[in-house]
Amino acid sequence: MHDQGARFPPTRPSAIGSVASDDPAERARAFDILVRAYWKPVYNHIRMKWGRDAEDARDVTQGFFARAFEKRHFGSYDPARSRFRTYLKASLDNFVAELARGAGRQKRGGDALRISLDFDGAEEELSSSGALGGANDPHVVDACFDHEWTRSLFASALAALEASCEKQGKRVYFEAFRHYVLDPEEGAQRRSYAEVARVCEISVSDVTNYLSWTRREMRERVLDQLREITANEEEFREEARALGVEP
Amino acid sequence: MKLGDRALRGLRDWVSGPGPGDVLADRWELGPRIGEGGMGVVYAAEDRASGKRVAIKIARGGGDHDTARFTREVKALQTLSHPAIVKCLGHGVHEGSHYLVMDRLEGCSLAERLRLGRLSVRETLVLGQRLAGALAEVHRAGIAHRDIKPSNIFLAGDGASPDDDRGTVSRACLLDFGIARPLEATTLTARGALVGTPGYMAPERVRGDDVRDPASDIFSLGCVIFECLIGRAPFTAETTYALLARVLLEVAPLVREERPEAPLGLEAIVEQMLAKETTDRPSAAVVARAFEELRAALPAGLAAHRIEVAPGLAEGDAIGDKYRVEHKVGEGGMGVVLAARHVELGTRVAIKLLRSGGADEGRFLREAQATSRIESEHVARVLDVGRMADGRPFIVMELLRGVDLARRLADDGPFAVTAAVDHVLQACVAVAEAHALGIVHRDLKPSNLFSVRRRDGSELVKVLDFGISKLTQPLDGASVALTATADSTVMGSIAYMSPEQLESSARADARSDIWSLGVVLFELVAGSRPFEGDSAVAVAARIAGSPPRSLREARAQASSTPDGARSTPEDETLGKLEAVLAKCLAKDPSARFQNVAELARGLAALAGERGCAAVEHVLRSLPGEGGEGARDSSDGAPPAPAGARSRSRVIAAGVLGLVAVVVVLALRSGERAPPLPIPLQGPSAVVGLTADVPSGAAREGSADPIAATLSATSQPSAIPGAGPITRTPPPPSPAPPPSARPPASAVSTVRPLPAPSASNVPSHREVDLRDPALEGR
Repeated sequence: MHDQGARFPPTRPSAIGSVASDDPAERARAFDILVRAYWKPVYNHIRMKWGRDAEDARDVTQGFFARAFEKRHFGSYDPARSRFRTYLKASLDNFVAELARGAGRQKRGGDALRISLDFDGAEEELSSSGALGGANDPHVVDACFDHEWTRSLFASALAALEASCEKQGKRVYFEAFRHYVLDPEEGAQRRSYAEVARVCEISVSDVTNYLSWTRREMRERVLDQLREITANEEEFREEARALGVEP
Repeated sequence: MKLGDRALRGLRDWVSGPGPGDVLADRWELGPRIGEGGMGVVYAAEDRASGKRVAIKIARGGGDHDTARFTREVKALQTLSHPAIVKCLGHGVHEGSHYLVMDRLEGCSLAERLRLGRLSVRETLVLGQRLAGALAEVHRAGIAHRDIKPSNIFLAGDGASPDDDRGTVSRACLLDFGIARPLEATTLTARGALVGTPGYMAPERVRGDDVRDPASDIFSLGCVIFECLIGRAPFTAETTYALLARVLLEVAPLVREERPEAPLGLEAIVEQMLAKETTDRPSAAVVARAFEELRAALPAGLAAHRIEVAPGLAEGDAIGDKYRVEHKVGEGGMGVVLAARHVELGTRVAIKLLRSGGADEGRFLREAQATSRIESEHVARVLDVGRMADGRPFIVMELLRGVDLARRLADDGPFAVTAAVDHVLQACVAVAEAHALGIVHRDLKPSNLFSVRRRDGSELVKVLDFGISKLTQPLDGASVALTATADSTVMGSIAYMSPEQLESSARADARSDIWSLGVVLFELVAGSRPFEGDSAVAVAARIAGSPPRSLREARAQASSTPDGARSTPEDETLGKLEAVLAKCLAKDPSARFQNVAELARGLAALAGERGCAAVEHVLRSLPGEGGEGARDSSDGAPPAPAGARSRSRVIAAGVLGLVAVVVVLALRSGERAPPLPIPLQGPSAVVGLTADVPSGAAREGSADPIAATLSATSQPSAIPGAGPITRTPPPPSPAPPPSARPPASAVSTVRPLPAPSASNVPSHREVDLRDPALEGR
């Protein structure tokens, strides 16, 4: 996935730019990236804004992406008019509204394309977050969409970081990072470096060095992912700044 | 890997850089963020080994340019040793982020101090000697500072009292060596690029000449000394280009033209420091010696002369046998605001003192009543009331140090959307509590929203000036007097008034405050107001009958100026904000958000961390959207004006009333009245605009209250064109220098609102804040 040993990772093209490609393989690759980034926000949005039950929301999510792929809808996106996220959400709302009117019922099941997605996990997360309680408030619905988008972005970057550590034989780097950044108990502060060192059986100075490396790597992975799902440099920098990871 | 809310929050915080709770080098424990600039973020911190309080600047970004600039500051501070140069206690790299550990100073910047008024001649000499001595050390080390200006000069307190945050000139320190560079180095700045701050920039820097000359620092220091003596920088103009032209072409006014008691020698040395040619300027060492000699020769009488702060009252006098006056903070048509110290307790307070004769005493004391009922930390506390020996009443309030949002707008330009929303949401906390108590503020505007810092360094917005507030329901049977506003009275600041308030202040209910908050939010984001006009009457007519200006267009206009908005939130964010503003600024009160809770919920999706916390506070104050406050406001609301009266009647009543208001305002304040396009006529029962109130109440470092209120109507100053070198009279109003406020974050830092658990608390990321000055608290 990455040239892990390189000082600078390869610059990734925007999947949004490639989704209208005439090359089927390129188009499919770009579409897959966008689906991975957006399917969970889309699912949650259907559950919250449109009040569909879990099973229905799965079908509508599949149908939405299937139809977008078939019709190459994302290719009509104009970066000058809005963020891609805004465009996708508007497209989704149109799609669901159309379904509600019955016009697209046949398309709902997404016969042409079925994507393997962890809907059970998504439903569990949504239910346990309590976000469904705010489903009547459009601001909350919008906030949840954006929040889920952010979560997807960071989760993808995290997976890429873990893979990178594995590939480079730096599993212990990832473990130090996990213990320090991801694992503090609810309400507790982060573990001390000494504690992380003890758990990982490394020195404190190793903890310092490993965390420095993983922070840099994690930022790059986030930026990599972000570059793929933003339309252009301006949007990329705007999003990066908002996320606190500006290059 | 599954990424829950808590882990996501922790991950985002960590990836964006070190933050509170992190320990650098197993020694420096980071506390709250206390400042932010283009180069980095400054945190309060503690040395775990010694318990010493320090400040730590952490570099922003990881680019080569940023790192080089940060490294230059570290090297400069390591090289220098002078009492007036902040000490470098350590530096390093933490998980990839460069940091610099410095002394943590308690006090205020010279810029903040100068907002209270000019310095005495003696203070100026003390300051000048100290700063020139520091510059001599800097230049001896082969370094040029390149950004000498009041906000980069810190006045540290003497440490004798924990609340002594005023600072003294005898403990002044030079800050921010971020753009300092070795005199002999090849320039890292492209030739022709401006380096420094225009109001204090030497002509050779304006021209883009060799910027390494230490004489450029002398010119900048000359500007600072001039400002200390006169109260404004020697070169001012309304636009950056006009300002730069003046720096290049005009000779600065002589000090003694406006400060006749200054020694001739002081005038001469300042004139030399401001010479156009670098070779005509003295060295820093010569300047330091000159100031020292002038100080020694200063007549004792000049140093000890009595400084009157109000008729019959001078600095050092006692008020009510309990409070010793320190200095004047602000002044309005109705009275003055003084900084004072409790004689026994030693605590510092603000005292609002009513001017004798002709003022509205009832209204003055109503403010104390109204404010004392509200317990929110977002309202300045009333500590005491009393009367002078001659019967003048005074109110003792907590003394706030900070800056009002009108001043911040003037200094830094429009806010980032998230920062603007967070500020307004903090104000909403106070307004929600006021509404829950049946109090309508009726004069919400940027100059009445005051930004201070808590002791832990975090920012806090306080709502000031409940002087024209209205109580819509009796409370404890003691508040009937608060409802005494005549039906045809117009009170408040025109540009922020709702249509119904324009018609009559008695018609203003909680929804009028919602309108005003909408105007404030628009102005914070756009840098201009939604209803503007050439005169107060024109503004009123637009409020009553025209739709608000486009937020996007207003922002675009701000962005087109050198000092304008820097951030560019994309369409979606602005779209959400426009929807909220449209609902705040509905002409019909019943079409607005009906209470502050609704407004807060509307803003939640645009809020940052502090804003989200404020939303929760608001919802607690006004439980549920039909909560206590909503009931209060409806109870107190007058009959629905929309539909009951014709639009034309509303406009006529408001406009005609305002004509009289403007006249009263002009007469009371002694300021020039705005042009009146229609004949003078209208209701006579017009009292009290905010310009009459000493609206600098309880604050230090605020804008001139009258100027702030008149800003909607005052005439633009003439912009002199560039001409031959002449000695010109001082311009009518100083133009604040543009700040280096960094672009702020946009809004995709999203927090689902309703989740009550800590898992939905957003990341610590914040925007705003200006110079990385090391503030004390």
